[in-house]
Amino acid sequence: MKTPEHPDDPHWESEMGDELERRVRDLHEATLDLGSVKDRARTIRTKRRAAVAGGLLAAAAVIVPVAVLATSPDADRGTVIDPAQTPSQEPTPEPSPTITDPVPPEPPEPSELPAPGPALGFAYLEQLDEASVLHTADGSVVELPARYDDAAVLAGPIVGYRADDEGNGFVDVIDGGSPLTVSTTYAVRSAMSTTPDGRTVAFVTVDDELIFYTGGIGEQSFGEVDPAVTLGAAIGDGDCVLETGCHPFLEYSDFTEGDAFEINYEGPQTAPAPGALRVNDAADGFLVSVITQVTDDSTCGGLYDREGGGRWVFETCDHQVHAISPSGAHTIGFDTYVDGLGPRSFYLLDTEGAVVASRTVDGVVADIAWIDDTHAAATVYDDRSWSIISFGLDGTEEVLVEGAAGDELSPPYRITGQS
Amino acid sequence: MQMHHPAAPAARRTKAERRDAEFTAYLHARQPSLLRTAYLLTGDRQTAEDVLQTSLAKLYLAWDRVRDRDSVDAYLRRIMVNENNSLWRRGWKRREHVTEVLPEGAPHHDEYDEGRSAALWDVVRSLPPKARAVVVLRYYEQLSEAETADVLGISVGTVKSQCSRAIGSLRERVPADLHPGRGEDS
Repeated sequence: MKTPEHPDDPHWESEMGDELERRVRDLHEATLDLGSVKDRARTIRTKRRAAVAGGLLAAAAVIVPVAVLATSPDADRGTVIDPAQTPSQEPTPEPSPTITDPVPPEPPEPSELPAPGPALGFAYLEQLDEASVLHTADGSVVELPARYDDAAVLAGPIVGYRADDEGNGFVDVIDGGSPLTVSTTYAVRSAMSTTPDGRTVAFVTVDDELIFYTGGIGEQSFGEVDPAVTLGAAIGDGDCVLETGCHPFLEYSDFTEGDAFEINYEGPQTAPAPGALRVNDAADGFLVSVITQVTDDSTCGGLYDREGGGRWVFETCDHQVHAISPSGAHTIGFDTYVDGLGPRSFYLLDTEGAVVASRTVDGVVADIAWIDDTHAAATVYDDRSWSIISFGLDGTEEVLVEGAAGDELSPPYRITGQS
Repeated sequence: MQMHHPAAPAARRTKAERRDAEFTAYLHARQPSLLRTAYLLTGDRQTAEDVLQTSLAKLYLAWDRVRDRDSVDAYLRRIMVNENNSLWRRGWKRREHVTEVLPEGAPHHDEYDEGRSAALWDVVRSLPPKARAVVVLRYYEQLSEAETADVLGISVGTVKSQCSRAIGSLRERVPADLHPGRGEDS
C-alpha cells in the first residue's frame, strides 16, 4: 500500500536521523579483537562442517591439516574394529533411547505447507524458521518437527539429521501420523550417511557406536569404532545379517592418523582404494571416489573400481572427485583447492576424469547430487539469491526451485542424502 | 588445531597472515561504527555485540572473496541485517533480552526534545526487524533508497513504503506540540 508523502516528511526524516545518531553518539568501544572473531568463525565452520560432513565443506576442510600430513606420515593407524566382530542385528521396532538421552525437538506450530510440486527426482529440504519442509522426489511435501540439514524417507519412518547452535549433531527417527513425532533421538558425532538406495542411513553416535537404521528393520549396531574415525559413506541394502548388506566406509577425522578403510566380508581394514584418505562417495556397485593425497594447494584422488583385484578408473590432481552418477559413467568434481565457504564451481567428469561440462557461480555451491545419469541438481548461491538448478552433461541449465534471498552462508534449501 | 604447525608452508602462512593483517586493520578502523549500527538494528548492547561478532566472523570466512574492499561495509551490513533477522526469528533471543540495555554512557539528549526523542526511539523499537533495518540504513547510515534496497535485497518501492510507514507512525504517535519545527520555535 502506497502512502502519500506528507509535507512534514523531510523534517521527520531529519529528526529520525538525528535521534538515531544521538542514541549511539557515546558508543565508542571496540571490544572485539581478531582472536574473538576467529573463535566465532571456527564455531561457525565447525557447525557447518558437522551439518554437511562428508559433503562439500569436508572437501574444503581437507586442505587444513596439510602440514601435519607432511611431517607425520607414519602416524599410528591403530586397530579400529575387531575383525572377528560381526554386526549385531537386533531389530528394534521401538528403539530404546539408552544409547543417548538427548531431548527430542518440540514440534513447532504448524505452518502453512507449500503446495506439492512437480516430481523432481530428488528430495530436498526447504528451511523454515524453526522447521524444515521435506519435498520428496515425487513432489509431495511434509513439514518435519524441527529444522534439519539432511533427511531420508525410509520404508516407514523419516530420519532427519540436525545440528544445534553449538554444532552438536542429532539424528531423529520421525514416525508417521499427524503431527509427525520424534520417537528416538540419537546424539551423534558424524553426519548421517544415506545408502544409494535411500532406504538405510548410518551414523556414529557420541558414544562411538556405529549404527545402521533401516526402514522395516530398525536399528542395527556395528559396535564401537575408534573415537578418531568417522563415517565417510555407506552402501548396502540395509540387511545387516548379510555381511555386505550394511557396508560402511570409515576414515580418520584427522586423516594424518591413518588411511580410510571399509568394513566388508574381507574384514574391516580393507582399503577402499590404494592410499585413500577420504571416501567422498560410494556407489552400490564397486565404485568409490576418494582423496589420496593432499598438498598445500591441491588434492589428488580419483575414481576406483573395487571389483576383483581393483583398478583405478582414473586418477587426477585436477579435481576433487565426489558424487558418482547412477551408472558410474560420470562423477561430480570440484576444484582441488576450496576456501572456507565451499566450492564456487563444479565439473561433470567422464570416466577418464575429463571435464564434460562445468558451471561456476559467483557465490557458492552448497549441495550437489545426481538426479539421473545425465543431470545433476545443485543448490547454488548466484547473483545474490539461492536456487536449485539442474545442470546437464550437455551444459544445459534449468532452474528447478526458484531463487530465495539470503546470505551465502545460510542456504534455504538442502538437497538430501549428500553425506 | 593443526593450523599453526611450524612446518606450515611459507606460501600458505603468508596468505593467512596477510588476511589476518588486513582484517585486523578493518576491525580497528570500523568496529565502533559497526557496533553503533548493530545497536540500532538490535536495540540492546548485548545482542548488538553478539550480532556484530557473528557477522564479523562470517566476513572473516569470506574475506578472500570480497575482492572489492570498498564494498566490505555493504557486505557486512547485509550480514548483520540477516543475522539480526535470524535472531528475531528465534524466540529465545527475544525472551532473553526483554529489557533494553542502553549503551554505556546515557544517550545524549537535547533538553527541548526529550519527549520527541523518546517517542522517536519508541517507534524505531516497535518496528519489525526488516522495517527497522530500512530505517537505520536510510536515516542513520544515510544510504540512498537504491543503496538501502541493494543491501536488504528488496525493491526501492519497498524501501519507500517502509520509510513512509515509519514516518507516518511518528506523526501519529508524537504529540502535536512536539512535532518538528514547533520545539525549535518556542
